[in-house]
Amino acid sequence: MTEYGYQDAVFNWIRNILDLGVFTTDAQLRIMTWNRWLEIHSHITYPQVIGRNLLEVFPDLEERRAYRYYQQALEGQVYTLSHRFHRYLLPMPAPDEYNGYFERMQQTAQIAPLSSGDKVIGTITKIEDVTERVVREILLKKELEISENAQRLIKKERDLAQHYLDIAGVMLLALDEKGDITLINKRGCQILGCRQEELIGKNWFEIFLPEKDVEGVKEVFSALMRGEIEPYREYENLIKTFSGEIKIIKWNNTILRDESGKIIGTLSSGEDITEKKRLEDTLKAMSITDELTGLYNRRGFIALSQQQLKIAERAGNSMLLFFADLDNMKWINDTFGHKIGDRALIKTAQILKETFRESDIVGRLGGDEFCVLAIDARQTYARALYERLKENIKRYNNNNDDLFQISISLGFSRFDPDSPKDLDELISEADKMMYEEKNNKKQSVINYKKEVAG
Amino acid sequence: MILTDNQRDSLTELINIAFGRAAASLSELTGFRVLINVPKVDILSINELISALNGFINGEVATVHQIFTGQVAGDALLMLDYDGATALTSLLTDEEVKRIDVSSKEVLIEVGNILLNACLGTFGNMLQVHITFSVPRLHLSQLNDMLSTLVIGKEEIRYALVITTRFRLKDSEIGGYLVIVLGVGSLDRLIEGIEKLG
Repeated sequence: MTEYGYQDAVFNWIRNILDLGVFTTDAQLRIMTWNRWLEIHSHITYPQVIGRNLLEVFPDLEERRAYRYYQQALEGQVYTLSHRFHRYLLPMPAPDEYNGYFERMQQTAQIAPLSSGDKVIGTITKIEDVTERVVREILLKKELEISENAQRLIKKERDLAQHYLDIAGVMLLALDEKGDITLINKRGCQILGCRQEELIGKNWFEIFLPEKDVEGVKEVFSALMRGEIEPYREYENLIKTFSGEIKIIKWNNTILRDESGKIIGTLSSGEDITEKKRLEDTLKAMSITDELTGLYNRRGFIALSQQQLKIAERAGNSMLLFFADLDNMKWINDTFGHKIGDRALIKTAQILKETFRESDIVGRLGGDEFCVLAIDARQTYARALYERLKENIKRYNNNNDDLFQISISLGFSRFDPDSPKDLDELISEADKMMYEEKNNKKQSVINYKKEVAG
Repeated sequence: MILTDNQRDSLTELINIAFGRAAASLSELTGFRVLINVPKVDILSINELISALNGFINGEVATVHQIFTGQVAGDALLMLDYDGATALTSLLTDEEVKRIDVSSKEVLIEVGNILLNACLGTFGNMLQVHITFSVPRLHLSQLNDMLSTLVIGKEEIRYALVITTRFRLKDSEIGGYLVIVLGVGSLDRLIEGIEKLG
């Protein structure tokens, strides 16, 4: 093949096959070659442009200040025209599939001098269609923006959630299945006495439970995580803070599950009730009433009675002290349970209140023992009061459908202002008498049974 | 080889003129004011170049590379570190560029092209010689890998004209280096030309 034939083949390849736009001009910027790619994409044929000045064919090159690159190229310089700054060199329609994005084909171009020896004899321009790439980059950027926005939104929501957690007045604590802390709010940090970042990932049980409780609670927790037991919705326990202080926390628990329903931990809200408990204890210690029955408790009864004894001694009044014991209390508790037992105590208290005067001091000394100090009462009242009590009990038992029958054993003692006894003596005297009655009752039951059996 | 103070002043002046032209082109292209400063001009041997640049640029560099031939021949490079390259592209295109994609590469090529053309064009005019440029390319590589391509297989003793370059736009400043690697013959011709100016 001749030299000419070879170059001809190269030229023909560029002319007909190359997947880029290539055109050349002479030194007067008249178009000399115009390849097939350009004919296809610009819809301008080679015969239409051959020999014509570039500016004549594309007058807007001047307007878009691109023409000067050709003048520079004639002085030997090479120019790259990026799509980003220029969009396109020659106006050509965008491929149909990108019509929605661009009217014109997006191009990057290179303009270079054509030299023969030292002399520039023209220019050569290479045009690349980058429409598809630019569209892809736009879509990618949009996708990134969407995902960044989503992430920002998620972060905002997380921050908001953290804010809600933090303004909550209770400790909020999430543990994973190993009992490691995965979330704790500000209040929790305050109660435990350390910073959030120190707490995350630490094992709750090993750090914050009193040593004696650790193993037991851990066992319960792992049974919980295995789904073997349900959580106590509400309970109180002791915790040991970072500084070693013991606090009483009232918990409210929920099991956390993942999407598939697998147990992954717990979420608990905990209220520090240490202060509240302490206050309750103090109040209890200061209280003179019995919570269950509303009567005076032992403290109240003794304090008030002693005061009345002094008054009675000074005024020369006689008083009666009754000691009452609810019979079969143990049996009621064992048979029907404590709730019914409590009910029996409440009813007994009601009966006692109905029986005695409002000015009398009625107290529950503890358990099933009651005491009444009837103020300004002579010996002869004792019988009447005793009868009235029996009457009231009988009426109660007849008029209710409780599981139990109320039966009370009663003893009494008299306070004589002429030979005053102290409260202890009065109580123990009445107590003794009550016991005698109780024994008599038992004896009569035994006798009755014997009679029946006999 | 060390320039005399006078030669250095003349050379700096010349480069400032060239960069002024390039800055004007960039301003026109982008629609906002771009300034390019030249705080420092040095001529180093190719071996010194490696250690000198290692002190300023770490890790990956974006290099716009153009080969020029003619009576004065060599390699012309604009080197920016990766962060500088993304920052400059962001500023010039008014879009946040986080990584150098194909479009960003083209932007960097065009910017480098303008700067290298301006610089070498000015030298060509001064020396009244014809210089032919290759098509510019962008390389993303480790600095040492980039620099070693300039040394390997070149028998002639080579020198580097290192122009510290600061792009200033929109209250930001981005540093880079314009490096022109020349054979000793080309360098002699350049210095001769500068002497005539002075």
